[in-house]
Amino acid sequence: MIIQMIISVLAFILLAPFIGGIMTGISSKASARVQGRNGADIFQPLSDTMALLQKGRNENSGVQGYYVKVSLFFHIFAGALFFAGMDMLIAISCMGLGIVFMVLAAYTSGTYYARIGADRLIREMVAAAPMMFMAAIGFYVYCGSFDVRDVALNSPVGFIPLIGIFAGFIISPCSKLRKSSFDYRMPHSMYQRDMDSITDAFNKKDAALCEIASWYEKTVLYGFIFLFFSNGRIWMIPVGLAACLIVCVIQGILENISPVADNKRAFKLSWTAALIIGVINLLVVYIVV
Amino acid sequence: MESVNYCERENQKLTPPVALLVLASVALAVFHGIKGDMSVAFGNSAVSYVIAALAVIAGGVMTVIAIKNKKYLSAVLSGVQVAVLVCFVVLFGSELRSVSAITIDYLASTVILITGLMGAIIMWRTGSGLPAMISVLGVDGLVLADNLILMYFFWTIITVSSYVLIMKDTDKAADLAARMMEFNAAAGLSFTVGIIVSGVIFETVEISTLNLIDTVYSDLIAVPAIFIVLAGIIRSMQMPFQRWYDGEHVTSAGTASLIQAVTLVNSGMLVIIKMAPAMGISNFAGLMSISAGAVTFFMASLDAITEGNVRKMLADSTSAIMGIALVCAGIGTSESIWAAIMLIIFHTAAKPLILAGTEYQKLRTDMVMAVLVMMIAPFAIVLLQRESMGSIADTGNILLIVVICFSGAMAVFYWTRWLGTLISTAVTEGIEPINLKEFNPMKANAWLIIILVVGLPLISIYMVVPYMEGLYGGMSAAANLTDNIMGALVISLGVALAAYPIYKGIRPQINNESEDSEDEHGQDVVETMRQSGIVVKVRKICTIASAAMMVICVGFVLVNLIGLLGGVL
Repeated sequence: MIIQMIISVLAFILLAPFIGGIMTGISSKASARVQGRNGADIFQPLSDTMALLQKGRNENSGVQGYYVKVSLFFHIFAGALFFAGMDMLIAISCMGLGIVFMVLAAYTSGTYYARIGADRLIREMVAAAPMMFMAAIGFYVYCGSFDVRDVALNSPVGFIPLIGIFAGFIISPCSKLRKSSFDYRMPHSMYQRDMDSITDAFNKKDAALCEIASWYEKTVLYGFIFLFFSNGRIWMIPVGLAACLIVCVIQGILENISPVADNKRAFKLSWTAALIIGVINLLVVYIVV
Repeated sequence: MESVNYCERENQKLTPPVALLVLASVALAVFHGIKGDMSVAFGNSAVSYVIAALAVIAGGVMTVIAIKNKKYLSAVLSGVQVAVLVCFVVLFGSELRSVSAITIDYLASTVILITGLMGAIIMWRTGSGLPAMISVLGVDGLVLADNLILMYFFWTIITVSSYVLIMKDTDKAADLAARMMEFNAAAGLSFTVGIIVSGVIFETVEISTLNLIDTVYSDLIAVPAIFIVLAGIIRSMQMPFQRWYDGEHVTSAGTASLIQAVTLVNSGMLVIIKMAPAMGISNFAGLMSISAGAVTFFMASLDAITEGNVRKMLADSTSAIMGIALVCAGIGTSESIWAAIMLIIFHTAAKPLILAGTEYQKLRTDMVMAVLVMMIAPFAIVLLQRESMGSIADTGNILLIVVICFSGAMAVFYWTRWLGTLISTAVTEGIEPINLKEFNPMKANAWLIIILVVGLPLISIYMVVPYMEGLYGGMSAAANLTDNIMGALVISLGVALAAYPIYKGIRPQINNESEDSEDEHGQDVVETMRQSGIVVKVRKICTIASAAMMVICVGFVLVNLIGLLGGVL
């Protein structure tokens, strides 16, 4: 049991950046295809970040570098807890702390665009928070535990009964998966390339670390999506992975069909989604269970 | 001007009463730790009459103060409660059986310890004397008392001393003090009704006995409990009644609001926590507190988001924290009561430090730390703690869950934004690092918070969980509470890591650009909310909803009561 735990945690720490990076690549590929372009290689984000990291190897950063590292730490910690099969609420709270520290890093860097980015980052977190809470409660009500291990291994597939929460999880935080115009952190999408957002005043190394932190977070979120399909049987694993991939592609397309969605509208959308779909789903689950 | 005052006050010497307060609080906690739970009963009915006389005198003092200041509404309210209390004691006094008038349990020793230390720190800092001391002792008495009449005595003492403190504090205080007095007189009236109902129907005025009866007749116990809970709700500024506190925070950040964050507001919640075992989702007292708390948590968070004034925001955050504690107390399971107590402890320690920090021209390290603690505590204790979240989810009350989810999100919003603003101030203007050489009240407070954060698992295991065991019997109820070290670890890690550079002292950076248009881009969602007037609408709806829920609950209970009285008479 413990050995299994350690292996999965180590696997997460080593592989998550690659998974997150490749997922980003796939999603941007999908979005390029929608636009009729060929798009960059799916490994492009990885090599970009590696290059940044290489270039900024010897850079010295002040307080904001410290906060970026703390943020990275909390994202890794959250993922470690999640993949060790422990309390999902604490994993969510660590993820939240990671974002808080990213906000602090942006605020300490002291420039104007970084502050805008930080404010948006807070709003992004807030937009997604109700859905995250509801997802946790949904799992608790349906599976009877907040432990990831119990949800993943010892309970039936939650996809059908929790389908509303699943949908909300995709719609409400498009933001959470750093997609669409709700992506504040860094300029992934072409609409925001004119503004460097929170990495504005970071040096190369910190910017790269920031990117890597977001990949860790992404991996944990894909882990959540996987959780909807998991019941401890081997044959559900490919289904879960396929679901993650489909979500990834859907998000790439969503990004493209909503080019004019400003973040006010996105905020409204995600809270409305949480309020309607999430609540109806929770109600149904309560009645059924 | 104010800040100059505070710099002078900073150098206050430790006065003997303050030192005595600390010693007494620690001594009592240690004594209880060695001897275990104890209760003192007064078989002699003369003592009961003495207690009643004390209560009547306290109520009388309140009435006299109200008449003297020509506040006739509060005079009538407090006069009525005194008269009713006198009638009750004369008619039924002899029938009351005393099992335990004073009880020292883990709740009492914990609360006395934290209130004593914080009270001492505040008195040391502000140099305030007797009224603050009486207020602190009032809370001590309140948690020790098991007899409702004795509790009423301490309850009234806290009201009176707070009134005196506010009057002393500022020029504009008269209005605020009067408003405070009116609300608290109403709370006192509700408390008195609770005492009388309990005495007439159950022939007891002791909480432990009421909780014992609760195990058999859960519905009936709601009848007296609901009035006492209502008193607590009014005092801890829950939704329909929360307006009495805001203005006072804004105009005075002196002794009154500091000491009230520790005593007045807490005392309301402590009464509810003491009644909490008698509540639950299936009885009306519990339902009322759950709905009032949830609505308040929601509305106060919304207010705090749209509020520009820092002190008003702090008042809102107090309301919000008390709201979520009220929800937890109302659910009434051992896990949720645990969460309510832990919240009260953290709030007591951190809030005065933040309030005091707002007075300084320059940002202070310890204030930032306190903000961090206040930010993380509700999440680590309630919203993201598996036990308490589980008990919230187990109520099956979908509305409650939704409200909690959204309010939690809003709480994240305003705390993070505020923390970010503080940090960016620290970057642009510099921050005062902790001076290790001198020892002043602010630093004592900071150390207290550090000890609380680091020692959270120990406090939980050795002070709060034993209380739950005492209430719910054995390990069964509290067994799963001991493994919440993970959450504590997250809090401590977060606070420590965030505080480290602040503690080192952040140097102002050169590359700060113009910040004048911050509001244009930074806060559009908030700005939209403010402009569209949606907050006012939502506040109206919330007030009506909360008030309606209270009327419904009290109405049902009154119907029950009439039925019962028909049986008795």
